[in-house]
Amino acid sequence: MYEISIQNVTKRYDDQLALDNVSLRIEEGEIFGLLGPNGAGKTTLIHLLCGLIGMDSGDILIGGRSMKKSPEKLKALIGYVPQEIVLFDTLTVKDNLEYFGRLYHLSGTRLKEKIQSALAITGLKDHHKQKVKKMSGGMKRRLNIACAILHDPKILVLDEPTVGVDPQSRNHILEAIREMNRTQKMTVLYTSHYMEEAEALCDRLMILDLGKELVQGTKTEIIRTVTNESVVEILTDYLPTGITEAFQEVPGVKKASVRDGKIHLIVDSSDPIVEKAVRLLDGLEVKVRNLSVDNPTLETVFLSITGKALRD
Amino acid sequence: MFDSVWKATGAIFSKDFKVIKSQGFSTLLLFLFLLALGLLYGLMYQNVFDQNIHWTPLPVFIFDETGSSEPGFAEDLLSPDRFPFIELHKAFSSLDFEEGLANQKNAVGLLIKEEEGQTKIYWRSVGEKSIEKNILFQAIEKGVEEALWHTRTYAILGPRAADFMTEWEILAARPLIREVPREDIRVLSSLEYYLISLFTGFCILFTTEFVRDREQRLIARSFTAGIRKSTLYWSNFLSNFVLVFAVALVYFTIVFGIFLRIPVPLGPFFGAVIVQAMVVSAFQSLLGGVCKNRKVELVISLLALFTMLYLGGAFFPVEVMALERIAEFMPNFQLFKLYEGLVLGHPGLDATRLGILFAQSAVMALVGWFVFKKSEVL
Ligand SMILES: Nc1ncnc2c1ncn2[C@@H]1O[C@H](COP(=O)(O)OP(=O)(O)O)[C@@H](O)[C@H]1O
Ligand SMILES: [Mg+2]
Repeated sequence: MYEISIQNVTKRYDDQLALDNVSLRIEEGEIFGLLGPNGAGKTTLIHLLCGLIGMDSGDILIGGRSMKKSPEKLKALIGYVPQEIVLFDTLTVKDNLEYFGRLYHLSGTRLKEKIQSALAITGLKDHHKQKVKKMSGGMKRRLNIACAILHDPKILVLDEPTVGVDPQSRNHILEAIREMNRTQKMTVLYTSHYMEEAEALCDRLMILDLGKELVQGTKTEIIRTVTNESVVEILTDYLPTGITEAFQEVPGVKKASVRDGKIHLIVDSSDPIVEKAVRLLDGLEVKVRNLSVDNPTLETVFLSITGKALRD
Repeated sequence: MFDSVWKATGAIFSKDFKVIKSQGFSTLLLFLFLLALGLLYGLMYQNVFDQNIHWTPLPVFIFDETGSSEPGFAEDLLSPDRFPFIELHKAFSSLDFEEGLANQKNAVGLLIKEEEGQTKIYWRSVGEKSIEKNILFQAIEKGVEEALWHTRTYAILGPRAADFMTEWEILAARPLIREVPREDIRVLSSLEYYLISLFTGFCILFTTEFVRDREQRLIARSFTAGIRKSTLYWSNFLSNFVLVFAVALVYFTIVFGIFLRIPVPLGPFFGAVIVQAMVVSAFQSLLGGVCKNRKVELVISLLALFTMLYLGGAFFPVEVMALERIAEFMPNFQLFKLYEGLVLGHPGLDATRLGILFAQSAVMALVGWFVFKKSEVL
């Protein structure tokens, strides 16, 4: 078993508290998202997990074994993708992979095979002879990941792997993570300060700010802690009289009104209201020109808990 | 443990080798520069020693008022054997002396007088200052000092003085005498520069990949692969050693075979190059352990280099500076002595020097290992 259990971890840098009594549990095969603005402590937590720094108190267990007691053995289970691009930039893609592969004690045909599959997963097959310094940012990010998966890690830790990446590479990266999680049952710890990305990818999440846990759970659970309301706006060709009253009757609608010539509904987010609304308008022979559903996002959650936007 | 050091060394070495290869042309240029540097230094040093100064003749007029009949102290001192540029004129009267001087555009007059029971030498210069006058003045000063030393010794010791003086001269002469033919000294002097150039090359031009990797967090990333600190450190040391050995072997083959053209015995030559590679890679490891980035590395290695240059005898012969004791602590001095032995045809390599070099390398490498902290690579 390779579940990760982070228990009451505290880490200080001089007088600054980078992590304050943080606990979390990541189940085997799960994609777990660590979210938070810059300086939240995400990287610090990852450095602790990868044994790069020591903690002041608490412990980290992987499959029940303490990181403090057998760090070398546990490190071999982890594939670590650093926040920066950490590669030999005068070397080629293949040379980089070879170096890291050999550090993981791979050699010969096994090393060759692993390099091929890492290239395939990250979509770098056609670039293996290219020098790193001549590659685009997105390509480097992909190689940054490829170097971490050569040894078939049970746990993949990615520290903001999509920062400064073009959309194509970003999709590729997210797809690769899903793929490895699905086919190899790889446990993934993913950090980001892009909420949408984390929402889309992760099974469960934790939001961290200034070293403290704000909330933890599945996306719905987290949003529930703050609100369970969504906003639906409908633009129609005309507004029949009594329309707000009609909507008020629809189950799941908490409040209906007309704003700026649009029908404005506040609804229960767990209730699929759209279909009912369209059917109602159809019955009244009103044509829908535009319809938007504004579900609360993690961004909303963060804003409402901390009073500040994530990307500050 | 040993197996993993071996594997890690393989990974690190092949990486370092590829990095150097990938820089291909610039690496070649650096190597040529290294050769040029040694050559340049060597030539400079030789020129200082070989320079045939064109002496301007300097008329020197002497008048000894004390009237002692035997050849005086000053004439003894100013014999043409010692100073080829002196044209000595002995005056027999004050008038003679003054006229002689007055007729010259550039000359020196030495007037020896008896005053208040003391013999005094007066220095009179006609014309511009010159290097010849300077040398003469210093020689007279030194001569007076020596004469005083003699007179006092004889006054104090009486009959025992003669024996004492003989023994003293033997003692005093010892550190200044070097029974090496002048030709060899010149060759060796430039050898010192080739050595220093190699150090310079590795410290500044080739730079240690270790510090570069450390700066770019590649060492930190390597640690997440579960590699131990000691494995990583000693693997880097070994990898450096192999690379330095290869470069030093080519370099010194060129130096001895083409530049200096001295035949040396092959076995001890290899031995010396191996020791050389060990010292340089130990020094690199020390830098790797101590320096967090290449700026710090550059500063420290420059400091170390200049210390070695000054105290190890590359700028001045250590015998002259009376710094031989301190020089013993400088690896470049010890290496120089090792190569000197080769050139002078000593059988094998000097065991004491080998011991000192091993100890120095061990200290450097171990200090680097001790200072290098896993927690400081981020
Ligand atoms: N090596 C360090 N020395 C001192 N302070 C640090 C160090 N690393 C991180 N910090 C501080 O710890 C806090 C958390 O940083 P970090 O873990 O990098 O956040 P994130 O990855 O979420 O942006 C920040 O306030 C940062 O300034
Ligand atoms: Mg970070």
